[in-house]
Amino acid sequence: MKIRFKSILGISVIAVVGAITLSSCKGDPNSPGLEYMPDMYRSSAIEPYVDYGHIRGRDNDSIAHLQSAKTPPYGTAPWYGSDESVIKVMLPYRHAAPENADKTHALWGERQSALGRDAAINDVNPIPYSDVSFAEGKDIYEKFCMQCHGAKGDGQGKIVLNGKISGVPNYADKKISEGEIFYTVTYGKGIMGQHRSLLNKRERWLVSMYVKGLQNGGKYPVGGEEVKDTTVVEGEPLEVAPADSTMNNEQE
Amino acid sequence: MKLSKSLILRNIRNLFLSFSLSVLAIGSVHAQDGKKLFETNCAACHKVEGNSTGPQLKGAKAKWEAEATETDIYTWVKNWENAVATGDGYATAMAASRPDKMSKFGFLSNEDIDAIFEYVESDQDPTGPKGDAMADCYVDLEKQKLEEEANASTNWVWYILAVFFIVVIVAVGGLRKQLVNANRVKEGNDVLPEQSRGEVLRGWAWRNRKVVSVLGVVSFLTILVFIVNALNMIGVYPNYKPEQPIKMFSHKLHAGCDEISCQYCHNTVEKSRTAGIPTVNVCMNCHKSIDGHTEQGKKDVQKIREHAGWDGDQFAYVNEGAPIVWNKVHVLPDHVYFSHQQHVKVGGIDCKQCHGDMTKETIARIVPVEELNKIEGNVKLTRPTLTMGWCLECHRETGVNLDKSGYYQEIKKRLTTNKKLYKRFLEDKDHKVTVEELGGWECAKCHY
Repeated sequence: MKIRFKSILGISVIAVVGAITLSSCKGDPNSPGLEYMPDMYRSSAIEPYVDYGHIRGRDNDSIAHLQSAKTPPYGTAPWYGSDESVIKVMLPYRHAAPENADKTHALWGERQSALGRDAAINDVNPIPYSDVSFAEGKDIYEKFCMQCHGAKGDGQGKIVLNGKISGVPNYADKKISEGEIFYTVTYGKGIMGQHRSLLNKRERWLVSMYVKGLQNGGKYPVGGEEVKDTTVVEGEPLEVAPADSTMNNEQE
Repeated sequence: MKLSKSLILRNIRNLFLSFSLSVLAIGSVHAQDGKKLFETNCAACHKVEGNSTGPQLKGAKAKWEAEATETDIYTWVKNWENAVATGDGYATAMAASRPDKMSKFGFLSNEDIDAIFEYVESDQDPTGPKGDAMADCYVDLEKQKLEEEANASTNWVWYILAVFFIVVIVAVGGLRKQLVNANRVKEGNDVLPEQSRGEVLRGWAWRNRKVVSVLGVVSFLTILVFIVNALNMIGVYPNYKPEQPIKMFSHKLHAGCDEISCQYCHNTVEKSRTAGIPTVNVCMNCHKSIDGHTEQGKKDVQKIREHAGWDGDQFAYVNEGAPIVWNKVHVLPDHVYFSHQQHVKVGGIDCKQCHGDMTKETIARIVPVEELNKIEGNVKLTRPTLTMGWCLECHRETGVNLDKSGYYQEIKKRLTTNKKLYKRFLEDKDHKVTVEELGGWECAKCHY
């Protein structure tokens, strides 16, 4: 009798342990599962957004910190081909950031000047107006601006309607020039962040064109008053980020 | 006498009521003006409550009147430089308190400024999530935990039941043997010889050999199928959803409720091989002023701000930042070359085709192919997400839009001018030029 009881106990212990083991086989969202030949998955070349020096808590110092998202070396410039119209658009922006831009918009090491915005006002959009460009600007606007500024530029974007950000202006009340729009998109203003890390110069000029259209009720003012083109002035130094983060306050 | 007394009383009460009502009405009209003035002039930089580009406006006037001696707040609002020029200590301190310079509002009259502050002091806060419409947008961690526990407990019920039945079967078996023995003793027979467990099992199997052999074949095949399936799952990660450094990040909140486009954060999707994980400055474009809603959400936003080097008290970037290290979810083997730019910009493939409806998800997850197939407009596929079979299937099914990009100009020209080619590719059974027909099944298209 005693022996029987023991065996029942033994079997039930095995069953319980088995049940616990089985239950631990449940899918764990944190585990990618079985990997076949990890060296075919883990690149020996530098991969974007992957630092194989740290894998699930294990460190491998010899390949750590090889992540590719790094600032390009000082003085490097992207190559935009040999088309002059493209190069004119993509040349480095020459107007300095607003004062204290490092503190307000994290533009560290940026040339700063209180006169930057005023100097940018008379800039002319290097991309001439066309329906195709305007539609391209609209596409960019709807991806990058609409959530706050609203589809019609009335400052009633979804985030504003959800009550998270307030005080987004209505474009119809703020008729500023394309040069100033470009300056604002580039360096940000007040609560609006800088967007030059998201959009390249061509895209910023296209979106400035579309915003100009929104100020005018959705139609671009073709053939407006003549303004002096200050986008590129011969003989003046172009904006180049200083090598270190010390402030370079040279005036325009 | 009594009547007239109550009449007078009632009259007095009515008078008082109407008077107080009219006072209220005047007050509200004034506050309405203040609201409009506040929203058009101040709200871009100031919040009623809480810091923003400028300091909180609630209580600002009272504080100014208590601290400043040389100048009043009207001078400051109209032109803050004039206020500083008076040499007032408080005005100078205010000017130095923020890296941003305040705009000048010379066009506002003293009455306007009064109206603004009157509105600000009344208890209406224009910011803050709007009621129930947003309630579904936030991840409720406690609710999530409860649901997980509920799932786990239902699993446990089955395990406990299984254990219980096994114990019952064994106990009944033992009891039966004892009863048989007791019966034999009663009838005067000898007790059955003690058999080992293996002998008992073999005896039972021999007696039921037909059933046992059928069961054996079936279970062998079942185990084989399980093994093959398990081998097929190597390198396949459906539902892989690793924990992220920002625990509460919710695509549902950002892309669903706030309707931020996918490209705002994953902005290299049309320019690069990778879609791009937003850098901290992209987060800070909104989270400079949005503090987060739930308790964990506030902690997460604080974490982002620390990574950005942002100090909420000074409302400025003061420290050196550091990137947030997110866990990569969609990993393709090293020997596969996939480009988002090709698929999104040239091919015009919707994000949903491969990533599912992210407006209903929290953190990133590899969506299983069954769920992808349920989404309207998606090409229906059978192989698991992110496997080679899945890629090839889609390349066979998908027709190429030859007008979408200049890349296909030459192909289009040849197809439309050559009758034989036209017949072969455009008048076949699917009436479209698939990716496969353009060489999308060539090894070197993806493996190079």
